[in-house]
Formats: sequence, C-alpha cells, structure tokens
Amino acid sequence: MIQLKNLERSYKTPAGQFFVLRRVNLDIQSGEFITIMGPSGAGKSSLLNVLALLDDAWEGEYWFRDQAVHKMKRKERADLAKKNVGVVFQSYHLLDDLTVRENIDLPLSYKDIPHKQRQSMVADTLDRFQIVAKKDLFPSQLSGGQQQLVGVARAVIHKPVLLLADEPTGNLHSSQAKEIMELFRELNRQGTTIVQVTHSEANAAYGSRVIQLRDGWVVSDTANPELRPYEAVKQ
Amino acid sequence: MKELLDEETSPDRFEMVLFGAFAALALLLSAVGVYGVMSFAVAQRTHEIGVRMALGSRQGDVIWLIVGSGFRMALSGLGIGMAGALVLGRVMRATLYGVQAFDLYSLVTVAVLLLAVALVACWVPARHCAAVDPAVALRDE
Repeated sequence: MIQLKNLERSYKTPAGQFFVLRRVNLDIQSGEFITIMGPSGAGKSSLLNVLALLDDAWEGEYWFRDQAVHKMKRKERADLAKKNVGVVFQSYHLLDDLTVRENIDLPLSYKDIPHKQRQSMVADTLDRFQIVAKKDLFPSQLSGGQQQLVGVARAVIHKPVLLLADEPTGNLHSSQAKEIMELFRELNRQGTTIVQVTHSEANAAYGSRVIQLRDGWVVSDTANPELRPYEAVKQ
Repeated sequence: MKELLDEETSPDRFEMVLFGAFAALALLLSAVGVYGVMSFAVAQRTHEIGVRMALGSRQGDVIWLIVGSGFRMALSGLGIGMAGALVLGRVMRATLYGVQAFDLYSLVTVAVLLLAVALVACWVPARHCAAVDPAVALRDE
C-alpha cells in the first residue's frame, strides 16, 4: 500500500540542518497494524505526519497505492489524504465550539456528499460508537476517553483505508486506553490499515508489526529482521 | 472687508480644522484598531485551521470561512458604529455647516473603508495560516 524510499525530513536551525528522519525505507502492506516506537525525539510523530500527508517538506520517494506522492502538488496530496487517510491525535484536536455531531461531520463537510447522506453517515457512526446520547454535547463536556472516542469516530467516518494514530491513548486512563485499542483492533479486522505511534508495550501488542526509530533512523522492524544494525546504517 | 470677515470667522475655522483633523485621526485609529483586532482573532484560530486542513479542508475553504466570519463581525461593529454616528450627528447638528447630520456620502465612505480594512485584516493572516503545513498549525494550541 505504501512505500517510502530514502525519505528524509529536516529542519533548518541556526546551528545548521537538523534531520528528524534519515533515509527511511519502509513498505506498508494493506491490512497491517503497525506500531512505531522509540524514545522522544526519535522522529515517530514526524514519520506519522509524513504518512498522513500533513507535512510537505520532506525529500525522497513516497508511493501510496502506486501513486507517486513525491511528484504531487500540495492540493493533489491533500485530495489523496482526504479520500484515503484518517488521523487520530493524542490531544484529540476536536473543535471546541462544535458539538460532537458537528465534529464528526467535519471531514464529510469537505467532501461532495449530499447533506442527507451526511446526516445518515453521522447517525450511523454515532450509533456504532455508542455516543448517540452525547451528540449535542461540546467536547469540554466529555471525559478524555469520550473525546478520543469522538476523535476516532471522526477519523473513520469517511471509511479511510489508512488510519494513523499519534499516541492515541497518551492522555487516557488505562481502562479507556484499552477500549480505544480494542476499537482499533476491530477496525483493523474489518480491513483498515493502521499505523500507531506509542510508547506503550501493551498498545504495541495489539499490532502485528513493530518498527523502532532512533534519532530519525529506522533501527529495527519485526517484518524485516535483516535490517542493518543502527550503527552500520548510520555510517 | 475680507480681512474683517477672516478675523471674525478665524476661531470657528480653526475649530473646524481641528475637528476635521481629529476626525481623520479617529478614522485612522479605527482602521488600525480593526486591523489589529481582526488579525489577532484570526491568529487565535491557527489551531482550528490546522484541524480543518488535516480533515480535508482546502486552503480556499479555510480562507473563506475566516473572511466570512470576520466580515460578519465587522458588519455588526459597523452597525453599532453607524447608530452611534447618527445619534452623535443629531447632537452636533448645531455646529455643522454645509453638511447634514446624516451625511450619506461620509457614512458610506467610512463604512466601506473600515469594511475593506476588516476584510484585508482577515484575509492576510488567514491566507498565511492556510499556507502553513497542517502539522505545524496543529502544534499551535
């Protein structure tokens, strides 16, 4: 589904160019449930932002379902993301002045979907995530777990083939975290490819593959045991 | 005769020039104030813009959303300002010469100017925010 070839991401700092991703080569197959792990500053969120097409300033090759993302203009990338990608954020990123129903409807409002169909899709999603009773509440009136549930609902309402989650349970109680992870497992079973960033071994256990990053380098990948050791790669 | 007339009306003319200068200054300050408030209000929405962009909004959608809400806010302000101007105009009627208390030309000119300032004040930062990578805008909380 996704191939990254020699992908690099760097920032210009007064001290020079600072790389957050170095020569990343990655194959992601459809239906996988991948966990990206590593210490803070390893480049996990940067990699997720690149995969989510939220970040344009990288170099290298990015193929998404045989489409050369690296050759696309920003607008084309945004359209590709809109159709195929859903993102769940650690801090939920719900809009405070919109109700639960309006927040969930937001991704649909940017697509050419008739209003009635949108309403029906939102109603189905509210029902599926068992948050019908919360539909008219604002995010500030919900617990962290409920907000994240809305965040996941919003991310999957348009049925993306790829769901990306950046520390989705980072702000949650362990019982709420378990609920969210069970939900991810179910979505994965239904065919959604999932890539999550987490520090939690327990959350990683829900996935089928673990990729370790350090200083922007991919240092291990359970799907690729022959990956050259970190020190050798770094040369 | 002319000298006598000039001497006689000099204090009134001075008052009017001073009055006009303060009015122009007030208009300039209003324009600067409107620009400052509007651009601050848009900057406060950077995170929202990031969320919307991350969820599929196009740059144009975001810019129109921001400019639209700014325009509505500016219209409300103008409505209040116009009402105030009409009331004050009546109060100052005695001091006016060669102009009506309700001077349509002046009111429309000021309204158009302030609306234009408000629109530019929304459009410039909205365009800037919409051009930023969503990943960067999302970090702005």
